[in-house]
Amino acid sequence: MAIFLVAILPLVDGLRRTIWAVHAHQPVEPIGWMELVVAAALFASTANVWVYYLLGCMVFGGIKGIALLAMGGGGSPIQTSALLLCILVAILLLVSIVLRPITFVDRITLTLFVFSVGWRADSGLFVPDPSLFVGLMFLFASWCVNYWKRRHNKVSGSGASLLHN
Amino acid sequence: MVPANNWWLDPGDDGLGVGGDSSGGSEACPYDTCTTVTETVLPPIQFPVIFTGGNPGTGPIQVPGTTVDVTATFPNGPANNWWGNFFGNLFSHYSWGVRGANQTYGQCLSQNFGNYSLAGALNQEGGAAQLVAGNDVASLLFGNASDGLAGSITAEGASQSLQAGAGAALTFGRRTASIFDLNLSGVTGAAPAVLANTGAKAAIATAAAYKFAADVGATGALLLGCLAHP
Repeated sequence: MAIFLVAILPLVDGLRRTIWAVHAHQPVEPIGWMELVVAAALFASTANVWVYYLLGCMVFGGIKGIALLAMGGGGSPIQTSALLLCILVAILLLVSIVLRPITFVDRITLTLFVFSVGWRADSGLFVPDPSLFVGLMFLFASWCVNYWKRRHNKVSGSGASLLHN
Repeated sequence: MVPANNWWLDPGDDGLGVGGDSSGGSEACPYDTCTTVTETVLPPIQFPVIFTGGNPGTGPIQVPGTTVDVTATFPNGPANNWWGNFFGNLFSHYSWGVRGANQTYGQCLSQNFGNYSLAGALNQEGGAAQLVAGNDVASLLFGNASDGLAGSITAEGASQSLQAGAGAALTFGRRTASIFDLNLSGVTGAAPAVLANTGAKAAIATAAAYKFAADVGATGALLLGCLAHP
């Protein structure tokens, strides 16, 4: 968990130097990319722990979002609904990850999800942005890979059992 | 220390105006990525405007009712000094206390609870960021209760009730003769069965416990941070 919070530092500074700086028409620095690599390594190596924290944030955010929507608070209902939809999809996909032994692909996709969420954090975290959608797509890809592997194993397993019989 | 009657600006400011100004403003260089910052603000402004890490800001003569562009330069390029500023702040005495001068302990807690969270660490104060990554425990205890209520209640509740099986109504030792049991055996939705059978219930309970623990830890840091003055 602590490593997750520590890894956020090079992530933010790396994004600031590389991605956000591009929008400010500044030269890109190699240090920024190195920081992103370090952050990615830290995130990927500890994904099996911080995925629970991330899921907890989403669950709480979802509950609060539903309460906000019901009470009519926060921003516009459409914006809150869109955010809530993103959160619920993320919860479903994250739960599907924590319910199975986390694979290398899961670690990579979780890391990419964090990067996607932070990609445009200079304009706000969890604001409607394509990068948020891309992050969910990474999680969905992880689910697809796992689904395909399970199906493939099942099919090959049944084939083997048929041959055996 | 910034004089109380002077405006000041961090180059990574939120674009809402110089210092505590709420009149709105714009920044050419968000997140310390450039060497010049220009912010449009409404007077009155007392020059020189103090920019964190930069030269004193300059601007034209103020005309009441019109906006003023305040510009400052950063000779060393603040983008190169982010880590230096971070560790400098961390290990200087400024970081060990967040309580302002003439500020009570309670005022410090209620003003800074948003900073002690994942959203605060990322310098995010937007509603969506606080919704997902805010500190619900500190928010409930020291902030706007309506903001943190749902999360904090469920923080304790989810870790306990999800494991224990929430929703199971219990009546013990009831002798009320006037109450008849006319319940019909209904059909529940698929969600409870799915949650129970797949292990999702335990996973969500664990996740809630992680979030709650992180929020409690951050709240502890807030309590300590508000003990000292900068």
